[in-house]
Order: sequence, then C-alpha cells, then structure tokens
Amino acid sequence: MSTAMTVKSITKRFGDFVAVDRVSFDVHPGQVCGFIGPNGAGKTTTMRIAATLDLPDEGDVSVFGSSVLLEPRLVRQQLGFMPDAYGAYPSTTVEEYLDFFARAYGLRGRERRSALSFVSDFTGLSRLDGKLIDSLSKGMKQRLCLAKTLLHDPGFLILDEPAAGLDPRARVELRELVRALADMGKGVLISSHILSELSTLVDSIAVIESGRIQGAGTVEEILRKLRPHMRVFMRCLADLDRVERALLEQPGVAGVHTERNGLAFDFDGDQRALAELVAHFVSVGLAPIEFAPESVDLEDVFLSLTDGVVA
Amino acid sequence: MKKTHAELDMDGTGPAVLTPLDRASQWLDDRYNPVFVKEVRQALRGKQFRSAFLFTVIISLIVGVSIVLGGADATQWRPIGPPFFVGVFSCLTIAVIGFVPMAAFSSMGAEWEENTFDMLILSRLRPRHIVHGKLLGAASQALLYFSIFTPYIVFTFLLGGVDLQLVLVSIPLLAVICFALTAFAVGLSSLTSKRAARVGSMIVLAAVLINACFGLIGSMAGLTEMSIDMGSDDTKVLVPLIIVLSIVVAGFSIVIATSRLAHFEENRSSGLRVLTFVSAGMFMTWVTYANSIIVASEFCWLMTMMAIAGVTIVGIFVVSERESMGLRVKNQLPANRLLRTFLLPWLPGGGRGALWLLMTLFMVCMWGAMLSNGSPSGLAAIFTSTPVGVAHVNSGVDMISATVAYALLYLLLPTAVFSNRSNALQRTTLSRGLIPALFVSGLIVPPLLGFVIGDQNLSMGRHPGNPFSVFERIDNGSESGTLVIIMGFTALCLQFARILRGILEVVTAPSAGAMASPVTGVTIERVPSAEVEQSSEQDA
Repeated sequence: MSTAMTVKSITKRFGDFVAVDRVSFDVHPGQVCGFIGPNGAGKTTTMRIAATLDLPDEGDVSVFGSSVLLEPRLVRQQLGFMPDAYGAYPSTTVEEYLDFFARAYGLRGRERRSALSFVSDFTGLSRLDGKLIDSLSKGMKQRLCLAKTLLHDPGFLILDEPAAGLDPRARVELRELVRALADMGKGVLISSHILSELSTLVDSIAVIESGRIQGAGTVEEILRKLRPHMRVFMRCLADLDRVERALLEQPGVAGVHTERNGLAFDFDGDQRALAELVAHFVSVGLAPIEFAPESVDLEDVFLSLTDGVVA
Repeated sequence: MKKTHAELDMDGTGPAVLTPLDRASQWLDDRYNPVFVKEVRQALRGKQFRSAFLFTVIISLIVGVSIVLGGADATQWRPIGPPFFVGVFSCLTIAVIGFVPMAAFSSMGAEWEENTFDMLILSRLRPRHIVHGKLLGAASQALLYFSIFTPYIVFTFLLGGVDLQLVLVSIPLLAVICFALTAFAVGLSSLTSKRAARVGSMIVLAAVLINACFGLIGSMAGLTEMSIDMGSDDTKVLVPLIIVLSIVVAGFSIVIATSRLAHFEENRSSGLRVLTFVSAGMFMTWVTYANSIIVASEFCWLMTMMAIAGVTIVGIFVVSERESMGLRVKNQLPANRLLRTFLLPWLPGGGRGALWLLMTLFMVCMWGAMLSNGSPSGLAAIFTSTPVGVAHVNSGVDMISATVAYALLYLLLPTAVFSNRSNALQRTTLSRGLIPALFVSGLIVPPLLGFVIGDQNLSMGRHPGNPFSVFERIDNGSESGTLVIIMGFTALCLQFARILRGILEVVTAPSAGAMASPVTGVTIERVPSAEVEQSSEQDA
C-alpha cells in the first residue's frame, strides 16, 4: 500500500534541546492517523516539519513521494495544514476570507468559484458567507479554517488540535467532517488531547513523548503488543474458593486474584474461547452473574505507552 | 474532490453567458495580487482608513475655507494661491506620508499578530507577492487621497502666486516619497514579530514620518515664498537625488521584507546583492549626471566614498553569512556550469559574499576614479597611485583607495577569523557584531593607549585606526594611505580560502538540478516552477 506521508527518522534540535528525536511513522491514503502526546512532546514541531514550515536537522518527510527538504512547493500543493493557532483577518467576511485563500492557491475563474462553493457546502458555511469572521463562534471558525485548508484539494491533511476549545456538538461535527475527508481518500494526520474523540475516528495512532515515538500502528496492533492477555472480571454465586480452583484448571487462565467480591484473571485466548469458558462455568453450576472482559480504549493505550514526562 | 469540483461546475455555478467585457474583467480579476485584493477590501471596511480619510477631508475643508475667508478679510487684494497651496498640500502630505505608511506598517504587523504568515507561505504566494500586495494596497489608499486633493492643488495655480512648475513637480515627488516611506514601513514591520520590538519599530517609524511630513511641508512653504526657479542647477541636482534615494530606500525595504518572510533555508541573499549593485550603479549615475552640472572632482570622489560606505554597510550582512548554501537553494542551481559561474557572486554564502563585495567595490571605484579625473586616466591612478599631473585627482584617488581598504579590512578580517563553516547562527551574529566593534575600537583604543604611553599622535587620534584622520592627511597631501591599503590587502588574502570554498561549493554541486534526499536517497528531479504551475493548471 503506498503511503500518503512518510516521516523518516526526523530530528529537530533547538539549541541543546532535542524537540524531536528520530521520529518515524507512515500515514496511508484514506487513513486517519491520530498523533498523540502530552504537551511539549514534539507533536507541533513534527507537524510543522511535515508541512514544510520548519526543517529537520536530520531525516526527511515525504508527502506522496515529494521531499519536504528539497521540494517544498510540490509538497505544499498536495498538503493542507490546519495550525492550532487559527489566524483570522479583521473586517473580513467568510466569503472574502475563502476567496482570498482560493486566489492565494492560484485558483482562477470557474475553478475558484466551484472550489469555494464546494468547501462552503462541505463545511456548512454557505449560509454564513456574508458574516464577518470576528462574529463567528469558535466551532464555526474551526470549520472556516478547515474550509480554507481544503480549497486547493490537498491529498493529505495535517490537523493540529482541531477540536481544541470546541463544544461537544462542534466536536462531533468536526469528527464527522474528518471522517468524510478520509472516506474521500485523503490521508489525515490529526493531533488532539481529547482521546475519547480520537478513538472513534482514527485508523492508526502514533504516540510521542519527549520527542520520541513510543508506539505507532493501528490501535489493535499496539494493544496486542501492550497486553498480550485479556483481563477478565468474573463474579459467581458459588463460593470464591471453588470458583478459583475451577478457573485455575482451565487452559489459558493465569494471574487469578480477588477483586470486588469476585475474581479477576488474565485470559490467553480469543472471544470464542472466552464464550466457551462462560458456558463451562454455567454447566458446572458455578452460576456466573457477572462476566466482563476489561475494555481497553485509547486512553489506556496512551497511559501505558507514556510516562507523563514533559520534554 | 477534483471530481466534485468539476461536478459542481457542471451544475452551472458559473455564469451562463459572458460578454467580451465580462471576460476581460474576469481575466483581470483573476490576475490581481490576492494580498492586494484582501488589503483593499479590509481597508474599505476597516475603521482606520475610513476615519483617516474623513478626518483629512474635513481638515482640508476647514483649512481651505479659513484661507479663503482670511484672504477676503484683507483690505488689499493679495493672491491666496501660496497659503492655499501650502494648506492643501500639507493635508495631502499628512495623509499620504503619515497615514498611508502607518496603515501599511499595521497591516504587515497584523500578519504577525494574527499568525497568518504560515498560512500564506503554504499557499502559492511567495514572500514577494505578500510584500507587493501590501504595497499595492497602500498605493490604492494613496491614490484615493491623491485623486481627492490633486485637483485642488492644481487649482491653486489659478488663484495666483504659485509657480505651475512647483505644482507639477511637487505632486509626483510626494508620490515617490510616499512610496518610499510606505515600503520603509513594510520593511520595518517585517523585521520583528515580537510585540515589544514592534512598539519600538512603530516609534521609530512615527519619528521618521513626522520628520518627513514637517520637512516636506516646510520645504514647500519655503519654495512657494521664495519663488525658487525650478529650472535652477540646485533643483536639477536635488530632485533626481530625492528620486534616486527614494527608489533605493524603497528597493532595500522591499528586499529586506521579502528576505525576512522567506524561509531560512531559501535564498534570502541574492535579492539584496543584486539590489545593492543596482543601487550603487544608480547612485553613481546620479553622481555622473550631477557632475555634468556641478563639475567638481571633489564632489565625485566624496560621493564615491559615500557609495563605498553604503556598499560596506550592506556588506556586513552579506560577507558574514554562513558559508554553505541551503539544500533548497542548491536544488535550484542551474545545470549549466557557465551560468553557475556567472551566478557565483550573487548566490548566498559568506565566501561568495566576499566575491560580491569585491565586484561591487570594483565597479564603484572604477566609476568614481573615472569621474574624479573626467577621463580614464583616473583609473590608472587608482592602481598605480602615480601622479597624473593634477594634485586633487591624486588625493581623490587615494581617498577612494583608502576607503576601499578600510571596507575590506573591517568586513573581511572578522569574517575570515570567525568563518561560519559550522552554519551556527551564533557565529554569524558574532562576526556581524565584531565588524562595527572593530571599527569603534580602532577609533577609541589607540588614543587611550596614547594617553597611557604618552604618545601625542595616538592620543590626538592620528593613527591608521582613525579613518577620518587618515582622510584628512590624504587631503592635505601628507599621506597616501599605504599602510591602510596593505592592511586591507592582508584581510583580503585571509579571505582567499573562504572564497575558494564558496566557488567550489557551487561548481561541484550536483548537476542537472537533481538532488537526492539525504535520508530517503530518492533523487528528485527539479521541476521548474513554471512547469509546476502549468501542470496544476492542467489538473484543474
């Protein structure tokens, strides 16, 4: 599968401080990659390098095969960057703002008009064309910034904290827009602190801390690496000692211990094997009344991979 | 998404039938500088321009009515042209030299404050487009002021007492000065993004603009009162000088702003080099023209020395650049080696900067030496320092030689010692700081030493470290500046290795404009920007 963006061992120093240390990962077309890390981890620096705004001291980033070091102009034609700090012009309407950037991206005549019409419709800004930017809500401003980013039809998008400061509704709407962009075949690299939002959006993640990648790949791949065993909690009507003995006789069960009037254990097996285990317990009269494999989400992955060190 | 755009186009979002006039206007509309369009829209909607415009019009109305009423009150009739001219001209001057440059300064500053530069750089806009757009936006504001006030200024001629030549010269001159100061404001605003420093820049700009306003209004008031002949020799020399200086100030401001907005790895130096070379040529052309009116060899060598000083000031930044070119510049080098050799002095890099300095100083010196004697014999004198028969020519040539020697000494010595091969910014800053420090310490340290050891010559400032004393002695004929020339030559010799490295870097860079990414190893064929634009147009 060809990559939309390849980050290849980039390092960026500011004096003696290493902001980004040999960071590497890939993003594929049609894929949303969550770029996660604590504050000061190096996310924005990496994104700025990928967007050709900064240069790495070592390494390179290629976007659809063009190097940010050597061919920044080609990269810029294929890339849309939405920075975390949104810049608006005072005394400018939504329509004028988008028209300005369409001109800046070299769009002319009918092409410009159709691009403006498309991004306005796509981001739901059509009805706000004549409104001054200053009067827009934060959510609408983020939509406007996204619309501006999409004007030149980039194949790859870098979105730096797009959901920051948005209310829950605006966040959901933004998430849907990003998903729709990925469905159009665009590669998306998105950073956010709101992991619960990302978990339902991303296809893959790259976790960065202190300038280093702690883990990269799909959420399942990382989970498999982090926790090879499934953690299960079980409560039965039968005596705890009996249940414990019965558990230890089962294949793939280990680390049994008491927890909240029940038992917790590691299970090395798939979902079917787990179902068979429940059926067995019912059949031998242990009367299980609660059986819960522990769900692991993006937050758990993040906490497992990072130490909370701020670079 | 392209398909979607096309689909929308098919839906009929574009106009159905276009007349040739519509087509022409659309063609023109597509080709406007986007920043210019934005600036005009913002200005027309913004409070700043509307308030300033209204304020100027009301004030000029009050001034005009007051003058007319004052004239009517007089018992004896006198022409009210001069006070009316000065009054209306003052209002226009305050508007185009005060408000317009300040608005351009704020507009550029707003890009820093609103954090919009990154978004502009990521588009197809180049730094020069941004700067030109800002200037065009300011020019459109100035045009509105001129269109309001010019008829009234011309009208003052009919009121009597105002020379038509003065009216015809003052308006274009004001336009040129307005352009120069607006460019200066944009250049100054581009220098720093830090708020505190921007406040300092604004104070500097305000001081410059206030002085320029008062200076120009005062000059015009003086000219109307004295009825100075616009065809006099002084006017013939001064007006072109103001135009040349305005163009040079505007040119440098534009180049500085463009360089500041360009990426660190991109070419931020060639524009400055070309402009300095052209400016030096323009200045020497004016000297040649002025010399044809004034005819004084002292004037020629004095002006040549000033040109050398100007080149030296730019040289501080050019010669102290880091030695190697950025990757992005290297990737743009032409494949043709002959063309590369021709481009050598214009390409970024400290070693090549030294080469550029030598070339520019050579051009200025040759020109100055020729003018000093009115013939090419002055050229021979600059090399041989042999008598050519006229004492003042000798001293002029010696003066020029000594000035060049000082320029080489102060620029090339620190940069040779602190040669920035490591590309560290600190070393560039250090060598840039050392150049003026060396000049100042050359002036101050020997007199202090003279006081300590009791040497009267040193304590009185008569030493080679003091250029002014050396120039004075050359003018007296008591010295020819040989020691300074030797010192300058020595500094030049120390630069030899640096210049050689600069040449070799360009000559040995990968040919055919193709470079491999240092990491991926993928060779990326350079695509000419025109081709890129064409291909994207085709895509669209």
